[in-house]
Amino acid sequence: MNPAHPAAPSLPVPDPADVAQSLAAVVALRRLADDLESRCVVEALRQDWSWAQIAEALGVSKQAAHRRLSHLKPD
Amino acid sequence: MLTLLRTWLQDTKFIAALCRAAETLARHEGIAAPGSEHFVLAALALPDGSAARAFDALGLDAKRFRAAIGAQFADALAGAGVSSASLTGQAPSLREADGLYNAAPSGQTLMQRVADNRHARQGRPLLAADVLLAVAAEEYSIAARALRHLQVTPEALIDAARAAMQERMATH
Repeated sequence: MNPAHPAAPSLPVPDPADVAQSLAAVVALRRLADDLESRCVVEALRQDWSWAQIAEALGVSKQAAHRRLSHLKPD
Repeated sequence: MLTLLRTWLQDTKFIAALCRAAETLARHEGIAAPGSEHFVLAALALPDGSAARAFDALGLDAKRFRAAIGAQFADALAGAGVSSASLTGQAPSLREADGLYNAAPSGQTLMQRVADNRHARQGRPLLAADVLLAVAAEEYSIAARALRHLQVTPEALIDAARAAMQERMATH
């Protein structure tokens, strides 16, 4: 168990020594996280969440959330 | 002088069309800034046809390249214990782009490489296959991993791109 994150489940991760494979995993995970974030923010805006609420839930400032995500458009 | 000016105008139009197409493709995926893989996909659809011909000579097309992009993501995610099937369905819509053009770092580097081959081209206008020459210099990008997944070596890509460009210049 990782003492810094006692609640974190253990996931199989690429061996950091395999740099190319590990960095590819980082890029893919980031892309997946960005995709999930976009979908969640669109849904939040659809449900009339404010940017302040979205920012708080994402753990960023309202300005940062708006700057990074305001290109999203709820259908 | 007139030829130089005409080539410059053609290149400017080429770059504008390529950037616009790459951005549209990226935004369809819910991504605001196109990466080099989007520029390759955009080049495959450009009207001079040289990138598509080079791909064809390698037994590839845009559909197979797109599938390989997905496959390399799936492989990378599987290595981190995540199923790539976790998120399905249409990517979120994005607002129309405004302000300065913005490409992802891999897209910026690729376009810089395309622009930097001006001397090697010796007055020849830019062609879609020039994008393939530029992407062949990448080793670890999403596009490079997708090409590796398709078992296309940089050397084979360069040969196919050059042959397609020669064919295009010989017939126009």
